[in-house]
Amino acid sequence: MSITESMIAEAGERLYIQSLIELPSDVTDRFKEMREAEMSELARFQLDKILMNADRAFARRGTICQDTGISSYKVKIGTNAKIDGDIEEALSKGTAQASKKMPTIPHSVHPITKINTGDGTGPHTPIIHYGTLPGSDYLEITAQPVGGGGDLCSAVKMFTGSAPFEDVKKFIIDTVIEAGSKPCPPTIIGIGLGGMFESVNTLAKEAVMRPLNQRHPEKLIADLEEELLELINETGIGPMGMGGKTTCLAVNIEYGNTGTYILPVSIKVGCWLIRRKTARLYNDGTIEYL
Amino acid sequence: MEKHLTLPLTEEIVKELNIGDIVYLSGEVIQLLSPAHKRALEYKKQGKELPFDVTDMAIYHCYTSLSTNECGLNCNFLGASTSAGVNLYEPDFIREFKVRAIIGKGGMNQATLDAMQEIGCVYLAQIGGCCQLVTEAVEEVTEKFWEDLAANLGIKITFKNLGPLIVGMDAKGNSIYREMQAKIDAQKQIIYQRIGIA
Repeated sequence: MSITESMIAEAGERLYIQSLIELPSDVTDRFKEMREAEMSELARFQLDKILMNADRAFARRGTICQDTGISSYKVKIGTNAKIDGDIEEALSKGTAQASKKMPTIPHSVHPITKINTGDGTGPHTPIIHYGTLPGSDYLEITAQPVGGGGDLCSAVKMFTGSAPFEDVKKFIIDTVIEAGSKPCPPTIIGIGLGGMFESVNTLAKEAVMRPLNQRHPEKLIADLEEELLELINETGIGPMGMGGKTTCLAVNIEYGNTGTYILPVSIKVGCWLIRRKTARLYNDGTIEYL
Repeated sequence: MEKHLTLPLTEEIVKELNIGDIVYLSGEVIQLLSPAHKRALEYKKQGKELPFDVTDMAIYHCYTSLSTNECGLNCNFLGASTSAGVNLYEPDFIREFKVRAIIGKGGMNQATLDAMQEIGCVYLAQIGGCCQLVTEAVEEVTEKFWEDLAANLGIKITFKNLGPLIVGMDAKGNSIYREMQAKIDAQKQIIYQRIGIA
């Protein structure tokens, strides 16, 4: 028995569709918490409507937002998993099938000619990130399609190793203020700290995908997450940039060690709609949707 | 203040709206993004007739997913896109075509606000990402224009109670976004002090 290409394609399709329809429960919980503390009537009104819209999407099995995104997956490979087939081919097929099964707006275009493939696939699309699961006999796939509004406001900067950390905080605050109403706040901010140029954006993506109620296990980083969240919510930008305390739902940080002479910092600005749906594919042919 | 309005609108009706008001809009709305704005202005310059009439009507910066069924065109879903992308064309468009309402998200620039005040036009903000709330207000999709513009083509959509839409910029020179910018700039200095930046 093994994990076949058609199993991977099937999971890729179903996870992509589910991720467009279902708002993760940690996000709705956070919305409700912040709504209670929100003083602006217009902000509360908008937060209520966002949750109402998510309920309707769930009930109708329709997309929450019209930006159905660029397909992206995280694949974690169990070291005892037996895979029969090409993972990338399978996830490309899954993405194309999803765009046929459910109405989406495929945005996958060539960067220069702007020619649209029409099915959400293309060179390096879907985007696929890999990891391993030591000792496991399954493949864990997460669909994490990404919309354009947040990425347009995201930023990366290379600081020197001697730069004071206040400058990094300023860069984060300035990026959020510059984004203003554009990324559909309340936002979810993922920050990649350290690593090198080639890894810092992946760290930021990892960070933004983490559930909002989980702080980083290291106290130093967890405290920084809370400090930045508080500072961002002091900007007063509010829901859709119309004012209020609810500018950001969570700041998540992932870090990697870096060189003595450099400090890469990546800020992934995400809108309130984070998409993540995970399944495990086992050697015995079963698929478990989490 | 919550208001239910039906298109076409007049300058008088539009001037009664204030920033922060909640509006539900009924009638025919034209979906137009940046490339269609550009073409409409070129047509006007060349004296060519447009395939749609937007005078006293509303336009919507939105993306749509359409399909065809036995009744004709069907709208699977739609939702606002970021209006800042149309800043370049909107002031001329408002002046040339006397459009009364711009629907989008995120707000527009000072030049657009000036044109709105001059002509009598408002900016109505859809709550970003609330695709289901606006899709359920679609009564029918009647026409498509300029299909060569691909996803940026123009579409005529009839809505019943499209909303909630928030008046983000009114016809009297007020803008929530501009007011917010001043407040945020002041807050920024306080935040800088807290993180130890002079």
